[in-house]
Amino acid sequence: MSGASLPDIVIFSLAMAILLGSCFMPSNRWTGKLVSIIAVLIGATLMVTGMLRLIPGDPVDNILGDQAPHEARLQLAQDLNLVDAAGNPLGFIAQYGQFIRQVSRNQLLSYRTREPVLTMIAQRLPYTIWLAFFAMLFALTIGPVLGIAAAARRGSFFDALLMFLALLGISLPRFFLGPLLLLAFSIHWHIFPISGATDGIWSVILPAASLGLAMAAMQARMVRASILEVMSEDYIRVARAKGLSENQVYFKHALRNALLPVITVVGLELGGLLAGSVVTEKIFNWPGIGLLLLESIQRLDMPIVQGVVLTVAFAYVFINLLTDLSYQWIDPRIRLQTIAQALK
Amino acid sequence: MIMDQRTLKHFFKNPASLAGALIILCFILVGILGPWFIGDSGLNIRLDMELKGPGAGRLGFAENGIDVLTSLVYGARISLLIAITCTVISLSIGIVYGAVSGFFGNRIDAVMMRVIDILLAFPGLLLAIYIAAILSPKTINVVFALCATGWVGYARVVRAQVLSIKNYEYVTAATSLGAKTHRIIFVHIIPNILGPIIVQASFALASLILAEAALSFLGLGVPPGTPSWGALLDQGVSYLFIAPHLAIFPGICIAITVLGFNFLGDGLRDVFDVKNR
Repeated sequence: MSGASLPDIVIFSLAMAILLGSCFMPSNRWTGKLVSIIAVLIGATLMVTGMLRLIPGDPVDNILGDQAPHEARLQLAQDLNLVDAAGNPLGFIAQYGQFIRQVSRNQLLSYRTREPVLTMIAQRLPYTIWLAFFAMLFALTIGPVLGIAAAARRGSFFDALLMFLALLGISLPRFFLGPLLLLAFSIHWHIFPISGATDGIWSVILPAASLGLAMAAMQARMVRASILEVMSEDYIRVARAKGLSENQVYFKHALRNALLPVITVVGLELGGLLAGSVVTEKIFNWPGIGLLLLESIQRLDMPIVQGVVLTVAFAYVFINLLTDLSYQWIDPRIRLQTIAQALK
Repeated sequence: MIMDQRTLKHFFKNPASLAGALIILCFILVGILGPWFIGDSGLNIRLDMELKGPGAGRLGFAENGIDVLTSLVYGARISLLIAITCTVISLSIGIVYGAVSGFFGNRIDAVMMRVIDILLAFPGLLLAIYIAAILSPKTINVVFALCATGWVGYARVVRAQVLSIKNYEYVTAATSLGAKTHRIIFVHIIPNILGPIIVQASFALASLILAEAALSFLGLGVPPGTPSWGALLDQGVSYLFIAPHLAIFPGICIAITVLGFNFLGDGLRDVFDVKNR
């Protein structure tokens, strides 16, 4: 293997061992879960570095174009660990090992500014979290409320209208909704600032609404479907039979059970929000990591691109882990099952 | 997958799925025949018409006085082309991958599913954005970027179906008659799970159209100058103050087409009685 030093080989073998080993571990135990999550994270790093070799053509040519000066090409090839400091080509094992070592020492440097990539990402990340938080807040208040309202009047015109709007909300692309909101609320009525994050909470409202609307629509549909399913369960009939008021049946028995499956998708959709924020940040010129990603692609600053892609993937995997855990914690049936399993 | 008259009637009785089918039909017709009807004279540069609104004729004019309607019609063809190519490629990879994974099970399945887990660690368009960023901007590379993740959905649906169906009597019967594995998979199993695959395809097409438009909107899709809907919308957003029609019309096209595929998917799901997406 060309250019691979001992630490590179150790890192690579360890990664492969965890990756393969995780496939054959029982995934129901928490150890199995932990190992499989580590394996997925390792897989993500392998994917981001290996993709440079998988795609047809020379990556440096693809990124810079074949007119680029020799120094620029050499610099990029070095930054991507495709060649070593002397310009000799490196194999994948060396490339991967170098990449992991650079990332863990925060020495993955920007191609343009030579700043550490992780530091740059850490500066922009709070903006994206702030935006995603408000989008989620928006989605998780509007969505379930509309879903509950639609389910309560199932079959009515109101229900049909809400569900049509929900499907429209899912189909309306974020990159169309954003400009529409801008056009209406910023340009026409001058209520909200047009772009940037300089006006505090005032400036986050439009981006959050345009980012969160699809999720709100999805939540509304899910909550409605879930309630309708729960309403035909036996325990609802029991609750009615023992003379509870319709409100008590609805809010104490139906809703609590119906909202459970909704939680599982929150994690998935939060990942969608993270990815979707790239588009939203571009429209509203919001200085989060999505905009950083796009700026870096334009400047051909591939180390930052790799860093942002991996950051989002890691965040997504952890969010899913958290939803998984919270689901177990909220649903007593699963919680008891897990405890019983642990005791065995 | 049996589509008798009753299920067909059920499909056409639902106004949403009927509307979806009509929208898709229009989209396909415009994509195939539209450019031939409308000609390419609208793509010529006419500086006197630059950025004029819909009042000036048809749907107005864009940068350099290019006719918006003509660009949209050509955009439909590009969207259709990319969507169909991606679907054919993703579908082929997904069916084979899912069928092999589900049929052989055990270790092969474990390893193959881990690969999918890893791909799913990149939410939404993230991997496509990354691939598009390391590729040169060509239409074929958009297809490559979208297929890289597009097959996963099919593979998961096919695997789940194969898992549930591979112990049915007729599969056991075929096995005991000495049928080869590939024959069992492609002759006995796949035709019986076409329903869920079609439903998946319908939803996947909706997200493909969205994804292509999003990539082009981010400047990572089709090469500059190609009238893809996403690229047109991107151009329109930069003129949002002075010529909002440039953003609105491509946006409406994308939204309606995606809505159409979602309607169709919902309808087909009822027809084939597929439980979950």
